[in-house]
Amino acid sequence: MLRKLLRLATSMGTARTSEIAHSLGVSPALAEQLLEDLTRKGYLESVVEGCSVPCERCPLQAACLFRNQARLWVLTRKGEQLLARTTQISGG
Amino acid sequence: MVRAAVVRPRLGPVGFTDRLDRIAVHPLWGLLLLFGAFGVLFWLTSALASPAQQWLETAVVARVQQWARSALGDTPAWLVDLFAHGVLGGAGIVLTFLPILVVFFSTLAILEETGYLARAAYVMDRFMHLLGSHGKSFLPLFLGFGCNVPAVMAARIIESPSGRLLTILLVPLVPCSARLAVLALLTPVFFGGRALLFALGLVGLNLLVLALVGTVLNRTLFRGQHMAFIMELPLYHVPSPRAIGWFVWNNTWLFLRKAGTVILLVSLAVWAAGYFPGPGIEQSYLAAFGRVLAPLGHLMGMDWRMIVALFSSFIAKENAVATLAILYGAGNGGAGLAQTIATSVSPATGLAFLTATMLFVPCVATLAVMHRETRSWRWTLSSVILQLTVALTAATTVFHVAQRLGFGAQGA
Repeated sequence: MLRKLLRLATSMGTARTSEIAHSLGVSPALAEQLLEDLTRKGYLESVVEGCSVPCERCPLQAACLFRNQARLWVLTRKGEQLLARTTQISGG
Repeated sequence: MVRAAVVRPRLGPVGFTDRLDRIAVHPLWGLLLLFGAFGVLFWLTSALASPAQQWLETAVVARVQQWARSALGDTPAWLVDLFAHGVLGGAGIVLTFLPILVVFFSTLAILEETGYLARAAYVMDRFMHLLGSHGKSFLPLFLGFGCNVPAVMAARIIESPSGRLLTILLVPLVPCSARLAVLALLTPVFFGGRALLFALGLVGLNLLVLALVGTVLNRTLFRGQHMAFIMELPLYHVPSPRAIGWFVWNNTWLFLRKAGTVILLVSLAVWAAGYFPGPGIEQSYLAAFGRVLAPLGHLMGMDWRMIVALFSSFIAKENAVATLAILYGAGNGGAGLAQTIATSVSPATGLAFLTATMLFVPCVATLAVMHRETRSWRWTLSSVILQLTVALTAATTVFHVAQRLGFGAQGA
């Protein structure tokens, strides 16, 4: 299931969690849980922390436009390697 | 037996968010909705706030200028002119745009609070993806709509040095809220009733240039590295008046502080350079400096005053408005900035000026952060050269196309 999620994420360009949930036939809550699992295992990385400091300590928080921003994950190198292996196995 | 025993639960019902997202994140409808949202933003700004701005300018600033001239009759002429034109004519005119900014920030805050801006970012990402430039640079570019400074800092999330550099080079091409505010302020001045159409066209052009430059740099520097992205969009919700009020107040206060410090100081410097040694602005140091740049301005249909206003936006984007007001002598004879500009600048020149402003070198704060993040003067200067080239090429092209289309005459 986790590998399928990784494959889906890479095939869709930018994928929404709701799209992934729909494609996997699971609820959005379970899809989020799967993403958390993949993040814990190092295959995905959460990049919302892209702002160098947390919102509460950010000097720009007063003027920030994007407090209500989307959560984002990207594939890590470990995730890419796993995906490449999976593709090779399914291809071979 | 297993098939009979297993009951597959039905997936959750399609909620309000999912129904709205069918349109909001659709590749085509989503893009049209995004332009619609920008359209509403600029329409509300010009319909609600422009009359209030014009009233403040003609009924308040112009009267205080007249009063200052009569009350300070015994003081030296330069001091009267400093107060009437430098302080009131520069920073004072910028302050009259307060109603425009309040409406602009309120609309932006409503879009953000409902959760729509996150969808706008998703739609823009798809658009960038279609053009081949995509990756971790998305988040910094997204933040750039608020302010380019944190956007440059956010490029730290990109591990690859070439990817980080590419993102830092692209960030200044994202129209930040200060540039969007200048656009909202100046489009009614240059184009009157057609302001909305021109504002939308300029935002569209800006995004197109961002995509094109991104694609070209991506194919050369970044070598087309793509990265998978997963995004969880927030749910739509009713905006909280308290959060909107807080956002508007904070941004308005930041603007007032900027008007009282940076904009006032630059206004005074522009006034001093435009007053001395005199007599008259045409014999000033500023005119001499402006004439050096005049050949460059001539390509874009701009006289020396407009090219000086463009370069003053390097300190802070709002300075473009203050410098135009000082150099075109807004407030003389009770005429507002819009009337004064309309008699001396053609819509083609106005369009070229706004195109150049939208794509021009970022403000000094952004450049300082760029230097800190790249630790290289070479790359910081490369960014300046890239922006200058893009801005001046686009403005020149826009000016000549607009002239061909019949926007070359004053009041056209």
